[in-house]
Amino acid sequence: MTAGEIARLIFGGLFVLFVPGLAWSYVFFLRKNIDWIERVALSFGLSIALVPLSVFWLNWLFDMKITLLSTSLTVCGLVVIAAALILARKYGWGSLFVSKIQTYIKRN
Amino acid sequence: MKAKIVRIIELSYLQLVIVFLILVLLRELEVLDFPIYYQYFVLVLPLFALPHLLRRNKADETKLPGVLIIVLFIFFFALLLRLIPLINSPVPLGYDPGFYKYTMDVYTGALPQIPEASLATWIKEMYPQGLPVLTDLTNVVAGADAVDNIKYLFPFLGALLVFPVFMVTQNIFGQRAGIIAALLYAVSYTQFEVFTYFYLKNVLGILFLLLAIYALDKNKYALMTLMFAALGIFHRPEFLLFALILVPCFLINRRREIIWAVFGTIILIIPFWVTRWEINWGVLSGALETAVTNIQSGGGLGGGTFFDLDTYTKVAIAYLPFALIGGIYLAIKRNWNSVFFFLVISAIIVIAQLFFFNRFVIPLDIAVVILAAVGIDYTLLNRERVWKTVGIGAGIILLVATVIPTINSATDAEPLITGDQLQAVEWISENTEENAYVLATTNDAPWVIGWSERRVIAPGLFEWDLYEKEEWDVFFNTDDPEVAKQFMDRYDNPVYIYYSINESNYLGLEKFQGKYFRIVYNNGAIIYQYREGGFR
Repeated sequence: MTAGEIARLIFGGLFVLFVPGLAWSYVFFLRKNIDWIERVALSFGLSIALVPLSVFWLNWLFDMKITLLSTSLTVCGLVVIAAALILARKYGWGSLFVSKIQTYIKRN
Repeated sequence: MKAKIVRIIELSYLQLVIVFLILVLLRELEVLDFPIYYQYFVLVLPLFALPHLLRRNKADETKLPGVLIIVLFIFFFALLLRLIPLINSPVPLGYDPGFYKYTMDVYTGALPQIPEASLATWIKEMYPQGLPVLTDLTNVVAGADAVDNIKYLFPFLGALLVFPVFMVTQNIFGQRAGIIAALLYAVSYTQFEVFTYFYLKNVLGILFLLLAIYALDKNKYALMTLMFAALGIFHRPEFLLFALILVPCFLINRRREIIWAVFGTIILIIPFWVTRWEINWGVLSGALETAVTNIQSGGGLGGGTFFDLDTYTKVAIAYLPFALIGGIYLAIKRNWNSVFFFLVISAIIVIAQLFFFNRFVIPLDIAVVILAAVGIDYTLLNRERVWKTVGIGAGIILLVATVIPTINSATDAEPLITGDQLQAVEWISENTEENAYVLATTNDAPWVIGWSERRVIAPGLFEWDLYEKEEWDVFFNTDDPEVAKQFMDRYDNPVYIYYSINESNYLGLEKFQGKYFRIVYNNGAIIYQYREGGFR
């Protein structure tokens, strides 16, 4: 195995098996709510659960093929969704969105 | 007077614990093996622990220094134990690696598609889509092939379980109990055997089960939904176990979120289950039918491949009494949490031999480890100065007594075939026709299907087996080359026969001495070629 292959194995493995879960662990638990041991375990568990679930769903619904590009985009998409949810919670976008819908419904 | 009696019982408990643990240690060191029923201690010790348990009120919530370092150390210890057999031999342990490799290869071979429609029934029955889809993803992103996943991912995941074991225990019973549970998991003989049997799906099942229990206790129902769904797509027995755990939890808590979580799970696993509805339903209904049959007949059917309860009580004897103490503590305090139901339900399945009961020893051991940590922490370590020192000593003896058989297993563990025999299988993939069949025994079949890249004919396995058991028996027992020829003639040429020279392997090679067979490889394993018209 070459150094490049080992690096791809380690960083590619972390990209699929750790990164999306790490992002989602912040959706479920704020920074100070859990310690690092819990964060690491959740990151692996969530990644191993979320990535195959998402890919299989996308394949089932849209016949998405499993390629390097589609998988990378799926992983990045999961991270972006997690980041959006964290920001929405931080800035209260959720309640703002709900109140706007309520106002719209009342007006119409 | 009452206080005096309580004091005497408590002193007796500590003395009994030390005597018991020294006896177990001596037995494990093979110094002395007294003709006593060690199992009786499992029942007696909790009785003496009762006064202390009745007095105790709350979990110890003091934070310990350096917990991260300790847990990391335990993780690396567990990883090292799992790497020792790999240092001794490049061949993976257990019977299953070939099945896993073949399934992963089928999936990666079909990339960029998921080969759901073209899969053989046995693959659909044995492997829910979660794992092969995951290995597809590690393949396209990290370049990891099936062998990389077998060699590196599996030991890593086995060691990684230290973290969820710690966090579930810490969350409910405090940090010190969490560390003890992580230690017990790392030294557990049962959990190491899961590794030597190569039960990768079980390891993933335990990971998601523990995280689901953690989420349930933290009231994080969205997280629980994800973990429950992951169980549904990775490992069905643990999926069923968690579903059973949810029933009493819902009846006690009456939380509507649990119902929503179940609905959420059903939605998430729809695409996985719809495509295999008949198979998954068959597996679940089969488990229930086996349970009914076993209840009516007294048990024994469909236990699955793993050691039985009797063996388990022997290998886990050092921490079993403390698990019972932990369970009794929860019952006394009416603390009906998910870990309690985890222990009770898995124990019922194993003891009553309902279904897949030998395999359920694996999750049962996890529950036992968690509650044993509670028992050890609450009755040995949570005491005054002198008694605490004695308690720590007892804890160390317990760990040593538990780790001895595990280390022995790690150093003695050998793969079922040798490196030469695996090379012989790889020779087939490099030197035979791509459309060839390879006949193999049940012992050799997983290796041949995994590494030969050819269609494999083996008794009761795979889609290319055209014979009934009785016909296979005749084939195995004959010495007559003509009978062997007739057996082979149902398959189009080319056909090869693979046989690894192992004590437990039997094929009866005399029948391959006629003109229709010739040896094409002979080094640790024999490979014959069969030709319908014979060789000159």
